[in-house]
Amino acid sequence: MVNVMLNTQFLYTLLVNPKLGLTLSLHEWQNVIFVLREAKLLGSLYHTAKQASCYDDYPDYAQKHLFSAQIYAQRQAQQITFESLEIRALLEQVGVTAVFLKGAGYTLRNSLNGRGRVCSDIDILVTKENLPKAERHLKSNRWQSEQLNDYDEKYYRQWAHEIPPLFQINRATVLDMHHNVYLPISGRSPDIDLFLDSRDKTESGCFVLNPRLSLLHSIIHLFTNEDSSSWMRDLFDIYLLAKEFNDDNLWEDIIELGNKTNFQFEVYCCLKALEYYSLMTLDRTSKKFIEGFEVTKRQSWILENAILPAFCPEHSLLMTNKISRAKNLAYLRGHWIKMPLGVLIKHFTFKSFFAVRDQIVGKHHFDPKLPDNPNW
Amino acid sequence: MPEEKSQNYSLFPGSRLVWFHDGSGVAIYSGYSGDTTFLNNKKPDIVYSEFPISSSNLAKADLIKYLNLGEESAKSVIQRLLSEKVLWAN
Amino acid sequence: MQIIDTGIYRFALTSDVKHVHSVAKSLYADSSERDLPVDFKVRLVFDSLVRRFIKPQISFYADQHSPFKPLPLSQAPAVLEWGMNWCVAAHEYSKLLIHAAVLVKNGKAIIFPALPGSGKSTLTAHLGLSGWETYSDEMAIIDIDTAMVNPVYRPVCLKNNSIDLIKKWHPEAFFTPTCVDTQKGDVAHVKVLDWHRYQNLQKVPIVAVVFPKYAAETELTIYSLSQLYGFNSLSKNAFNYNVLGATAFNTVDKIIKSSSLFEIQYNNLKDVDAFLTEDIIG
Repeated sequence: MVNVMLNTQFLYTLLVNPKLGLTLSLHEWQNVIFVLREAKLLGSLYHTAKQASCYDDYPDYAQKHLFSAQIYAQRQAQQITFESLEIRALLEQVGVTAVFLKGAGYTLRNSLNGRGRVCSDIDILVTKENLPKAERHLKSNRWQSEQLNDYDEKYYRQWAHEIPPLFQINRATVLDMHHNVYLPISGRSPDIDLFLDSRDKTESGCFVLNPRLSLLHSIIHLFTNEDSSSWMRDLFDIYLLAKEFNDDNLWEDIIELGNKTNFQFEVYCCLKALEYYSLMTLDRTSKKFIEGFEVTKRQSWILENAILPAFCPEHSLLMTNKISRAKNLAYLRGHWIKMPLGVLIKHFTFKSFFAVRDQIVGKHHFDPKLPDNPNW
Repeated sequence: MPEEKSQNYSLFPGSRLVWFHDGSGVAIYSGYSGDTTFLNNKKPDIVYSEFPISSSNLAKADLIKYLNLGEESAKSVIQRLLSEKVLWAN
Repeated sequence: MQIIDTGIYRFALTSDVKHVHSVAKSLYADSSERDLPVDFKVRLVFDSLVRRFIKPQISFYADQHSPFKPLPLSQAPAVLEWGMNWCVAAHEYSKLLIHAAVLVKNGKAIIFPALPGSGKSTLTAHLGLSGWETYSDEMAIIDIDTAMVNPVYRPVCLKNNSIDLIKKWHPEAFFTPTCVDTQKGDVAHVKVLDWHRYQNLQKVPIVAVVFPKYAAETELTIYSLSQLYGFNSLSKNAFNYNVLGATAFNTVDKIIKSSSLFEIQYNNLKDVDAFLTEDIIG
């Protein structure tokens, strides 16, 4: 029945070379669809297959699932655009310029990686000085945050690079407002002016990071994130960004930015991962950087045993003991690098940040609002 | 607010309009918010004229005339459409 | 693992509750011979060991996730049917899905959007067993470009008194055992089609939208509805209206333009049948 080896490598190969889909049996398609649905990459395959002009030759079974995923993503893109314009207009009233990050940024720029992508919230970056003003103004204009307990409040206010998530009262859109791209408590948060000064104005009038800083931010976000459930998608985002904005000095500049912001190891991991999953052939600069990079034994072990295997989507068709272990290690590492040990231990005695967050917002996307009670 | 001064209106790109032929009103899909808004015609003897709003830049005076509601009611409908982001003032 | 083929969507079911398999088999065995991939994997599982023995509860999983809270074990077969609805409603964006029953006669469809308690399922089951084709009890599955409605191979879900009523009127029909639950009420499913008959059904155009309201004291009363009311109600009853955006708006517009629109209050299904057959289907 199933002939192809369904694994992360195969899925990346399919996304990059969608013509491979023409050789799949219907039962192989079934498993591919289940796993890509879990990885939030169904809509992305729709677009890469369309671009490769092979979508129309896919079996009806595959087409209907890819098409539906794409419609959902398209509606979300519309919602993101609408919501971003509203946020921009609100913040402009108090003289605050917001830079849209990650998913919202990709959608607003209309870059390749925005197409077919779904996300669960909108992320913006403002200066630390502007943060109180921005928060106050949003809160008097139908954005709210949940009452948090003292520990969670302290987590956000003292240690994190963002404030507690805000919700639009009527539409339940979730907004994460950041003043940095990484937690100050880690002692590693970069000079944020570098990011704020490198913004581009999109057609909509909203600001996004320029492609290089956007790429650097995606790298920092992925390789410092303890939750690996979206890593496969996030690395594919990076691959598409790099592909779309590739020029002779792209990686040279990214490596330099990594050095400047002290996220060299994250850039190193990114290049290793892109190479490992055959998403990219490293150019000379990248090769030289990789070869010259002095990894500690521990870093090298972490890369092999935690990071690289943890890109696997969290679907039972793919999960093995080895992958579960890797994901657990990646989880621990994500916390470990975040904060000093004393704070970390204290942090673990409370609920983890993501558990808190999921408790508040649930894991919903913007749409559809389906009842939790099945008895409709 | 700019809309107070303006005398011309358009629907957002991607919007759709439907007139109900039984005279019950109008449904408008906003290409901006993605929401559907209804103008409920409470006077069944008066039917909204099918106004050419798809051509952007509709003068306020014409819009009031098309809505056929009397000036004050028409103005409040326009205000609602502006606040619900169905119309924008150019 | 068991295949449940509803004609338009296919499910693979695994269940910790054996009883659910036998119920599913009794409803779908005739449809499940085709060797095709499935659209959704569904599971019914006991989440906790304790819950297996004390006030047992069952959780529904759509592939890796459980979209709603666990429910009492006695409701397991109903949970499966609800869960299958959820899978479709949360993933199907190539068609407009309206929370409505669909009945068809002479190649013309009437859709019945309705709130719980309107008697919609009693009406569907009775008419479905009296010369109408039941295209759906819960979900009108509508093509977006033509506004034609698709048949789906599902039973009708009956609650409380309507179970006995339909049993009395149609003793020859196949019923699943009644799930007894004090909180949510009793639930049973009745088969209104067999697979052979289903396979001969085609997509058909919608000619009317009827909002039924059962009222014990009221003889058949028919109200004509405005197009604005009809449009508004269909948009609010559609599961994926918001996601489909302008496409849904256009499809609902097509339905409204091609349909007569009524609310009916009734206490006798024979009168309803006569009205629908003579005045709408014609």
